[in-house]
Amino acid sequence: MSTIATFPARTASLRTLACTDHKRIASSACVIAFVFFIAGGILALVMRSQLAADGGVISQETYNEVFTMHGSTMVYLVIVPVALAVGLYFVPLQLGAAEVAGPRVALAGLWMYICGGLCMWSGFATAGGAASASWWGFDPLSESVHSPGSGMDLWIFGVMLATLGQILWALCILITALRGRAPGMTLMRMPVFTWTMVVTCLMTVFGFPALILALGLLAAQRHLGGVLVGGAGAVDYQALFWFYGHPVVYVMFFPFVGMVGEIFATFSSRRFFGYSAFVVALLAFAGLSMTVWGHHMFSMGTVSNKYFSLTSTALIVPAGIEYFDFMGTLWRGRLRFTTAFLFALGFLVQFLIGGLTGIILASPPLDYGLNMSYFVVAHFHYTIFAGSAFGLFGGIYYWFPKFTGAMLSERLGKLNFVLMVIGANMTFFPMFVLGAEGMPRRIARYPASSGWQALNVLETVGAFVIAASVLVFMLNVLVSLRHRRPAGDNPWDAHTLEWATSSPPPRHNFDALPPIRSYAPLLDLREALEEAG
Amino acid sequence: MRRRSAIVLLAWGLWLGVLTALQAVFAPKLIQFTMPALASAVCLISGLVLWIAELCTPVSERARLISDSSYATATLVVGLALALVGVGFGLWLILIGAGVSALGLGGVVREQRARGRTLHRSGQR
Repeated sequence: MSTIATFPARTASLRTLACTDHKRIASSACVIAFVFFIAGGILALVMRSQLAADGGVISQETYNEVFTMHGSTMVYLVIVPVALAVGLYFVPLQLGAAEVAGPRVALAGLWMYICGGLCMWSGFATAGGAASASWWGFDPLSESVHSPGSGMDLWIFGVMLATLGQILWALCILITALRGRAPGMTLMRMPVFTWTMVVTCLMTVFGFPALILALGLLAAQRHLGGVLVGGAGAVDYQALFWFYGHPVVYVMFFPFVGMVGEIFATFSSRRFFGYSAFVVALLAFAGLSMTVWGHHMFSMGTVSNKYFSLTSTALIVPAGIEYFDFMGTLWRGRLRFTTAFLFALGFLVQFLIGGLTGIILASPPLDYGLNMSYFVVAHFHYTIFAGSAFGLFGGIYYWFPKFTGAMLSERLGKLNFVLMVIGANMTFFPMFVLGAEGMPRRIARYPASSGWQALNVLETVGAFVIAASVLVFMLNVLVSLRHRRPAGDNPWDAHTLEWATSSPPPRHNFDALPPIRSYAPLLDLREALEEAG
Repeated sequence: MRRRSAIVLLAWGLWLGVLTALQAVFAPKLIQFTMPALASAVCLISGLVLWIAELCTPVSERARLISDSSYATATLVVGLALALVGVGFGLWLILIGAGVSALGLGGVVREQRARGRTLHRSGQR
């Protein structure tokens, strides 16, 4: 194992902003992402209040800004950065590495993310307001004729910076996984979470540059003109955007699949079932997910609908293998119903709803009817919030002791879980019904005769229940850090290497490593000790 | 010790290539074909480069020296961000960004030189 000599830091406060330790970088990114999560969540509450009151809270133009910044914040500044930041923290630890590959590059990624976020949100301070052309910056709506203010420019440059930062993080994680593993840690001994991060980073590195190119062209069109010309230009922009825009959905999914896999294995006290099949399924899944983006353009008639319908439907196969492996891991396990485990179960069930409704949207004839309706909004939020966010909360409850050295309160955690299940389903399930009835997305008002208000009010109540659950989570963190219950190195009897070091880990990660003979080295060690009596 | 990690990039790039080639049956538009083909090609090339690197250079077991913090990196990125935003807001911001970037770049060079000196003193170079 390599050792590290460090230069002394100048001051503790400045150190956080410029530290090259992957754990500090990742922790800073998580805290910043949580601040953006609260800001994006407040925008969601404004939107829901508007729709419950049937258009009485804000103007149409402000509503456009609010939904654009809500979506942009949650995708570019919350879920994707958190997914990568958790990887940045734990992949080196799970591999027994002393450091992430390219620590300065990772730090540069953090600063790009910070600058990008500030840039996007500073649009609200401009005379014309923030960007209002949706999270995918519709062309020609985002061109200077239709969006003349500097808010749109700030959005474009902000998204470019944040995305570039994410690519840098992904490169660091990928190179660490490929080149920085400890002796004995072969590819097929890497933990499940690390494998999910490898495929996440592959998609980030090879898919995300398309977004930077698309936004570069959009910026050129706004300032120079003649770049994205007419209908063909708009279609080309969409093609470039969705080449990023679908893989990003899986970037917001795979890391949480990995977290759930680790949680299931730990809290059922079993090895992860079907490890090899899971790894192959992940790689196949990631490849397919780079070739399904055209299903976002079914109704435009400019892509090969049959091809994209085929690849989109084929996703069921690797997804089915992953679900089968989860069930196999739980089967006959000694289950411990901790908060982390409950959130993981919530992910398993609720993501299934998002996934199954995705099959409906993968069929062009059905998509023609449902495209741009609330059905799509419901599907997306079931995958990203009811799915991935549940996986993330599971991951937080699971790894918080390692992050901080303190345990979270299980009682408050379970209250957090119950409120979030109620809130998520109350908010997002009625959207399927509204979408099927024809309610379009991105509208600030709807006809009184439509009969949509009752369900909209229900959704709004659900959104406030989610907000209450997030408050309970914040309270839990504050209380647990104030009245610290020491976690110890491995409070859950988990199986992977990050639990072989202290909580929180030292700067160099490990003083010594146990022998690595499988993807669950600590379980191997425990079994060997039991056999030896 | 040698690693065989390139197989991940090679296998995935090949799989992406197969999926891209499958499009030929469905008469794709140029852009629809080009993007995944490019991604596949870059992935395969990266895999080949890594494979050659793995053949030529075994994993280093010697001590690594890294700085605990890098103010220069943060300064460099802030400068680049200002310059980028300057594209939309005027030359004055581009120039400020370029100046801050130059400051940051100088700092990165200084950090690298300090690292080199330390390695030289410890006899690892």
